[in-house]
This record gives sequence, C-alpha cells and structure tokens, in this order.
Amino acid sequence: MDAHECVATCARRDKVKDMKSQAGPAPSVPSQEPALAQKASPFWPKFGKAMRTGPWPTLALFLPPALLVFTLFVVLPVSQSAYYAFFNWNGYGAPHNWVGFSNFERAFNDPILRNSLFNNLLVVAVSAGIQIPIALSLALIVSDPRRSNLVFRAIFFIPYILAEIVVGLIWKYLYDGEYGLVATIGHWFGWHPPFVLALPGWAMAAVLLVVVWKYIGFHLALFIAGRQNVPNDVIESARIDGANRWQVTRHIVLPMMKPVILLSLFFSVLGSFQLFDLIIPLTGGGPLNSTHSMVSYLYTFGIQRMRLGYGSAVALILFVVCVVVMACYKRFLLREDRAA
Amino acid sequence: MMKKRIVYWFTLVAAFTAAAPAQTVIKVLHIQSIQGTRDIWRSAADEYEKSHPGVKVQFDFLENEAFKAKLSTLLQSKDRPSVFHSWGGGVMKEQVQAGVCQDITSAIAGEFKDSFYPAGVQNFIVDGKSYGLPNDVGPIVFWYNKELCQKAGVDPTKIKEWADFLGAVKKCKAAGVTPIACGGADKWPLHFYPAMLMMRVLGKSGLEEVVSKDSKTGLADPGVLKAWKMYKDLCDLQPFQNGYQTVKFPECSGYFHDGKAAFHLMGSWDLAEGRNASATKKGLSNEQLGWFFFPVVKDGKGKANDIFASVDGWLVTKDAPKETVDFMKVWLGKDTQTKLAAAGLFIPMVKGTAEVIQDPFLHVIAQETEKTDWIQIAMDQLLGPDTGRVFNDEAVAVAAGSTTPEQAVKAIQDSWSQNKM
Repeated sequence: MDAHECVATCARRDKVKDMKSQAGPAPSVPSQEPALAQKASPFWPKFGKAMRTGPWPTLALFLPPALLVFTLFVVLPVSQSAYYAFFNWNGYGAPHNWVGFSNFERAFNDPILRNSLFNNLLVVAVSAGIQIPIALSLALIVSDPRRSNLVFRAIFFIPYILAEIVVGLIWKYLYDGEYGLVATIGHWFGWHPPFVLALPGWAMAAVLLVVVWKYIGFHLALFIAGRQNVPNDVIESARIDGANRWQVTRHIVLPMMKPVILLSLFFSVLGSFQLFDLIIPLTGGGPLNSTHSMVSYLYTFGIQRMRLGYGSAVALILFVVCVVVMACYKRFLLREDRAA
Repeated sequence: MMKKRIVYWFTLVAAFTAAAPAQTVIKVLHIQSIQGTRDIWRSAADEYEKSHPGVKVQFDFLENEAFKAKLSTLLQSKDRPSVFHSWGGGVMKEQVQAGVCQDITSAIAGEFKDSFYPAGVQNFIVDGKSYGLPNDVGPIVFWYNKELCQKAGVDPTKIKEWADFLGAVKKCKAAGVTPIACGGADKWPLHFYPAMLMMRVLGKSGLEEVVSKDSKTGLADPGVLKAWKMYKDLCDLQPFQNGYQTVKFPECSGYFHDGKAAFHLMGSWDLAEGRNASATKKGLSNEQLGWFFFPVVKDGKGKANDIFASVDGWLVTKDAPKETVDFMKVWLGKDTQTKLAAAGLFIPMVKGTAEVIQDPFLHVIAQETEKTDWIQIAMDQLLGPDTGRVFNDEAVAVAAGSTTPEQAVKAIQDSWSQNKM
C-alpha cells in the first residue's frame, strides 16, 4: 500500500520534472513550506496569500477528489484482498475460516502460476525483442506523410482498433486445424496443418504471435509521433556534414527517439500484466493450463472456482510483482533517460 | 440519441417505482434463453396472478456465466430473488450453509413432492431437508452415427461393456473413422468419461460413500482409481478427433452432426444443439442417428440405466414470500410441465410428462429417466466449484497423457480434503 502510494506520487513528481526538462533547463522547484514557517507572525494574511498564489489552490482543488478515488478504488480493495488472502473463503457470508499463509504456500507451489508468470515475462521479452524493433523499423519507413504511407499506417493500425475478444475469436478460427482458414487452404493442397492451439509448446507461441500482430500498430503510432518530433534541421545538418542514411538513423534519429522507445517498453510491460481478454477466447488458458497469464490464472483459479481467499492471495502476489517491476523500471530506465 | 436518453430515464424511473411494490412479488431468477419456455412460464404466472390478486410474479433473466458470477453477491443482498436456478450439488450446499436458502420440506410434502421423479427431488435435499425442486433433466448418453459405425464394421447395439466399447474404438481407428467427437476445450465433456466409469465401478452406494464426510479413503478409493485407469485405457487409443483440446462443446456438437465422428458422449440436449450447430443446420437425421447408455464395467456395481445427467432445478431463498411454494405448484405442476414437454423444450422431471414428448429419442430417454432410481449429477456440481474443476483439469491431463491416473486421483483427493463439505 505504502509502496504503491509512493510509486504513484513519485510518478507524478517525475512527470512534472520530465515535462520541465523537455521544455528547457529545469529550474529547481521552490519549496513553500520553510518560507511559511519562518515568517509566521502575521499569519492569516500570509496564509491567505499562500492559498491564493502558491501550490495550495491547485492542491486543495485537485488532491481531494484524486485521493478519494484512489482510496476508494485502489487502497480499499488492495487492503481488503490482503485481508481475504488469509482465509479459505467462497464468498458466502463473512470470511471466518482463517488458514494463515496456506493460500500463499499453495500459490508459490503451483507450477501453473509459475508458468503464468513466465508467460507474462515472455510477452515482455517478445515485445521488446521482436515487436518493438519491427514497429520501429516500420515507423521509420512510413513516417513521411505521403499518401501511400497513410494507407500503410492505417493497415498496420487496424488490428489495434479491434476488440481483444474479436481478435481472440478471429485467430482461434485461423488456427483451427479442421475448419480454419489456414487448414482449408492447406486441404486444397493435401496438407493437414497441425492444431497449433492444442500443442502445449506451440500454443503460447501462437498467442505471442497474436499479441505481436495486435499491438504492433499501437507501438507504430507512438514511434511515428516520436519520429516526427525529431527536428528536420538536425537531420539536414547531419546530411550536410556527410552522414549517410544509416548514420543519420543510428546516431541522430534513434537517440532522439529514446524517450518514446522507453515509453513503448513501459506500455508493453503494462499490457503484459493486463493480458486477459485476448487469452480467454483464444485458448482459455489451455491446453493443460499452459497459456495462462497472471490475470487469466487469477480469474480461472480464484473467481471461477469461488476460492476468493486464494484468488486474493494471487492478486496480492500480482500486485507486489507489479510494484517491483514498476519500481525497477523507474529506477533503471527512467533515471538513465533523465541523466541523458 | 435523444430517444436513447428518454428510454434511459424511463427505465430508471421504472426501476425505482418497481422497487417499491405495494403488493407481494415473487421474483424468479432464471437462465432460460429459449423464448418458448419463457412464454409457457409467463402464461402459468398470468394464470396464477389472476386467481391470486395482490401477488405478482416477476421473471428475471441472467445469462449463464453472468448468473454464476453474480449469484453469491445477489443472494446476500436485499434484492435477493425468491426462487433461483440451481444445479444442486456442492454449490447448493455452500448456499444452504451460508443460510440464504429456505427449508421447504413441510411446504412441499405430500402430493406435490410425489408428483416429481424421486431421483430429481433427491438432488435438492441437504441433510435430509428439501430446499428446492427439480425442473428438468438432461441424461448423458452415447450418440452414434449409423453410417460411420457400419463403415467401421461396428454394431453399436452390441456395445454393453466397456471392453466392447474399446473394441469398437479400435475398429473405427483401423477403418480410418474418427471414433469419438469431444469438446475438450470445455473440459467437462471429457470429465464425463472418468465420472461415468466411477458410477459403473462403484455403484450408487459406493459413490455416495467416497464423497461422504466420514469416508476414510475419500476419492483416493481403489474403485475411483480403477475407473480412472479404465479411462486411461480409452485415452491410450487416441480416440478423439484431431485437435479436440481446442474445440468447445457447440463446435464439437456440430462436428459430430456434420458426420465426422462415430460417437459423441453428450446430454439429450445435443440433439437440438448439434443439429443447429452443424453446417447444414439439419445435422444427422433420426434415421442416421442412434444412442445407447454408457457401457457397464465387468464386475462393476453400477447398472446400465443408472443415469448421469445434468439436473436443473430451483432453490427457494429465505424470506421469500409465503406464496412462493404455492406458485411453484402451478408453475412446476403437471399441466405446465406437460405443455413444456409437448413443445419439446426439455425433459421435465414431473411424472407422466414423458408420454407427451414427440421426439422418438427424447421420448425413450425420458421414459428411462422416469424408471431409474439413481440420477447422478456432474462432478463439477457434486464436488463443488473448486474440486469439480480440478476433476475436469485432471480428466484433460490424463487424456493428453501428461499425468497418470494415480497422480490425477491424488490431485483430486488433495483438493477434496481441503474443500470437503
């Protein structure tokens, strides 16, 4: 809870800083509190002035609603599930069957949960290693606002517009080895394709392919915007200095697009931890529970089985994992960005 | 846009006015999406309302999955329905233990209770008390495709024992016919096999014994293991269609009715669902189709007509208006149920309704159901939502060869000992 709050406030503070650093050399934010404490003799006029001019009006206006919503929808549920996690509870009546840490024990010993976490990491890895490079290359190719490029951009972006459920169902149909599109075409040539989603090893690869296909448009859009923010005069002067196309890309464009790339990575991580509505229609977590993400695991083993105590324990683990990942992301990736 | 907004406000106002009734309202929460059934229910309710001024019957519909997800919250709120859909079993026990249900044993005693199949009433009894009544039953049988069986040289009418069935599967394999269609992605179609083998091996008293509170062995009983090993014997023959793990029940049902597999182990509802899901929308005709009961096991205690079925019914909640059971006498009474049976909407559990069922297959199945003294419900209902799903998972794992019958039985018993009710 504390950690989460800290992450949230840090994020806000950093966002302010980031914006400032983009605008120009960041001025140090003046601290209001010591000034108030030093000359407190005619208190009320000072206080009134501070309320009008300092950061206070903003705080008084914006903080309470945010704090209320945050407490109601984040802090409260998280603390509730932290409480439920210690019970064997099916949702009827108040939880009363205290089981100590056995829910956590069961979660840590469950190979399916470990596999789900691994799948989440796999999504991040594939996104960073395959999806982002492809999206970046495509973005560099189609970033000039020519008419043909607009068409290509639209084509690449369409999968992102589709709802996850729809995408899941479409690809389930594509992969089907009996009635599927690939199978039907294969049958014309006497080829019987494998049932990709039925093979534990291949099913996850099939899911990853869909993830890459679906979200590439989103990253592409980010990168196009990032590419267009790179000032043309810098590129032109590099050209005049004799840099070739590759050198311009490598030494001018990519370094200047670094913040966007980091943002893209951030969204991949975020997307991975939210991955659910694609998996349910596509594989339902199967075969043999090999394609679950953390969230679909939580839903299948916590909510569907009415083991709300166990589900809460898993949710808490997921929460901690998220906090740790976000903290690492901020600490290592964003700091580097700021230093640069 | 404007119109939408008006409708919105209208609904809102309607919702508030409906929340403050001046009369008794019996609220029925159901999952029935077929219009024909709803119409017959409504006319029964209208009839009751006419003869009982001041009482109003309100049917509320929730889609199957939404129903399951919302029910526990709904039952604990002030807006709890008077009567709600139930599949009995472990979930019902949890609800009874939570104190949200009403004991209606004395209210239904006598003629009304005796108008139902005893095996159906039995499914809504917890610790000797009735909390609800059955609505309909979907017995699970082996459907077969006559042409494909003939092609494989199999005579399905001769399949009586499990060994006969395994022999038939082998013949199909040898003749290049896909033996069994199975919607493995849904998992429960696979769980039928070990569950029904358990019925055939253990018999009624044996199965009741292993799931009882005081059982020493629990589900780790040797009889249970024997059933799972026999299931493994079937799986070793690779009897299911290619990619069965990715296929859900409706697609699989269509696949069978497209004439692509010789057998399909499924409920009586498969007839309508499968035809509807087939490529031609007609599926297999009555002439092309046949059925038989799940085979018995050599030296097993179960009988051929011990029926494994999905049983739907109704539970009455606490604080439900006292007119509720009175209304059920009309709504679930023989007249209304006869209309439902005659329309071929489902197999009711009221005595004497089997005669009016038109469909030749369902007619015989209904008659057999009336005769049987044991109707066993699905394991994911009997064992509760958690252990039930472990059971289904293990059924899939054994079929895929990723676990052994011994490990499967152990996993089920481990879960059961944690959740036992």
